[in-house]
Amino acid sequence: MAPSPTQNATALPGEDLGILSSPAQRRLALGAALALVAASLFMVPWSENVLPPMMGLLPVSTTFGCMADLLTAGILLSPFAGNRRGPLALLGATYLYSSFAAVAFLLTFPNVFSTQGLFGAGSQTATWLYQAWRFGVALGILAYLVVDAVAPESGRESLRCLRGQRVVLVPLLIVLVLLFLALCFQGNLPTLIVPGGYSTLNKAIILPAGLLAYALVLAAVVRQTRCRSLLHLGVAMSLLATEFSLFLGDVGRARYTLGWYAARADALIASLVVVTILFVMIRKLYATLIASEQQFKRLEAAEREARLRAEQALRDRESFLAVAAHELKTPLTNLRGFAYTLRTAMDRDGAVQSDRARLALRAIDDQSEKADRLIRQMFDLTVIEERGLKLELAQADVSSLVNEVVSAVQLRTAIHTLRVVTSGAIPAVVDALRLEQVLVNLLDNAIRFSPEGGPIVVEVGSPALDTVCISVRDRGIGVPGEKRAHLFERLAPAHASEYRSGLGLGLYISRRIVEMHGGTIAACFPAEGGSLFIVTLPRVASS
Amino acid sequence: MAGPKRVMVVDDDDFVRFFVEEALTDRGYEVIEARNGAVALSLLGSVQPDLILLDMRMPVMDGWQFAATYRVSHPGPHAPIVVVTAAADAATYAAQIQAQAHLSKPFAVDDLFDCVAHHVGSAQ
Repeated sequence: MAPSPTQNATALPGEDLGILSSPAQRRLALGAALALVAASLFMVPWSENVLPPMMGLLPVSTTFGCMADLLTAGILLSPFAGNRRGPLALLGATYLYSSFAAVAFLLTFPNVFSTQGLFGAGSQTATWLYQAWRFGVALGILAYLVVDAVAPESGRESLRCLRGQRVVLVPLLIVLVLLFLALCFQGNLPTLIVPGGYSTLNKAIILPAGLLAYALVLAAVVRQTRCRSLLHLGVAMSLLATEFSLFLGDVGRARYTLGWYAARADALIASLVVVTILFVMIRKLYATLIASEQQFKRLEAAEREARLRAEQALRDRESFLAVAAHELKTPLTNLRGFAYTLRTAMDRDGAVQSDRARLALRAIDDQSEKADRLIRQMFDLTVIEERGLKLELAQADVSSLVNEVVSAVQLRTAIHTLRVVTSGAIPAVVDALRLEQVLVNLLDNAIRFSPEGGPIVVEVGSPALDTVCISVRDRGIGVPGEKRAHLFERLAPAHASEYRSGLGLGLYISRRIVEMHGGTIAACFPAEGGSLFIVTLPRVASS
Repeated sequence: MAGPKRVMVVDDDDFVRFFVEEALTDRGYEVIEARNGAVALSLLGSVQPDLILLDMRMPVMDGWQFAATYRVSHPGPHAPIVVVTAAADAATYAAQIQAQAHLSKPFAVDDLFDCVAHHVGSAQ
């Protein structure tokens, strides 16, 4: 799925990173969320029960959450996210902030690393850091949604304060400042934790505010992104988990109650879910990467092949033009030559002997006909290749047509003996002019490739009631074995490298004409030498 | 050398041979015709031309084969060769067989005369 500019322009906010969530994944996430809600609600009646201290749970769940946030940030800030860098950098910074804040929270929490918490933390330090952590994350995600929705295009450039290393330094600095404030001003901060539970301020304002903030941000994420990408599905899941973590903590009314422990367990499970989603994302990222690499290779190969084909076509065209020029120059040479002999005789003697004149004029006639034939062939080729040949079908007697053509061609040669073998009239519906062209072509070839002269036999027959068969047999030099396969193809003069052999169009054009009649043309090369060309046509052309 | 200068025309096109023969004979040259390289070689066993006008693309034996065989199997002195071809790369062909000159078809007959005269002098 190569992203094109148009796709980007219309991309929904949910398509960050290009890794979409499947409906099954969304259903699974919804199921997990509902289970979370049910479990949380189920626990409410016992949530205020105080349990014996389990000092391991808080560090474990917090550390795990911290790692999950770090991993998420790592993916958001990776080169994979290059496509929509601006908003994602903001989200990545938020997750970095979350993991740093988790560390600060854990270090200052009483009875984890020291009785009071490290760095001389007071009783209010950890809880204020916790609030800063949670509200900060909610704020960050909200800001991400705003940037993504307001400026999906211009927001592609990172915010200035988050470019380069600042994306790490800024959240770190914020956490350090907050830690500093929570440590130095612990005496001045309003009390959130009192012996035996949460303060009134905490219960009346802070905790409900947190619940409300997370509910709103969660609703905003779901509304804006519809959780169409795995990334947003993960964000929504972690928001949901925090929401219920806050809720359970709230209904627990104090630290170390069932509610409080459940909140920690909830955070731990949420982190596990997020990490699982991240794994799926990474897998998909690599699958996409590999697929696009393969696609690239395929395109590259296809492009190379097309280029080679184009180059070959160009070479073919060039060599065709060279051959065409060569072939046209030969009759021109003779036209000039005989015109010269006539002219010099006239100049010298004032008249030309009639037999010499007749001979020269015959040569001029013959050679202009040859030039005309070459030009017609080139024209036929253009018509066949570009517009398609149109047949003008009419009833005709193939036997007499063959006889006429053969007598005409016989006039051109003295060393060849052309003979027609036929068994009477064979009427058929054909384009007589085109069929004549085919026959002239075959006879021309027979003459040209029998340089020593000899017999050329044309046989006309009707092997079946609905077919007519014309064969041309010569005793010439035949066609070299390696050329036989491509005899009827374009640009395949059978003797090109040996000597002048025409444009290599004759048999190709003949084949096209015969095929348009619904017939076939074939060549065979009998052991005793020479060539045998066989044209088979339906008596009524099928085109 | 006694007698008229001899020019051999090797070309598979009957008309070319015909009018070249007529034109050169008119000018007093003696012309020997051959319709391919093989015929030319067999004739060269008994006659010694002063110049060979050689077409390149011919059946049976082409100009390249002819030139190679002529130089190897016939004792010298070898007659100068003028390549006469309709191909665009006449000069290349001439270089390939170490011909003395080339003449591109279609040529003006006067150019043919100039070329022949340049290599063998006037007919007598």
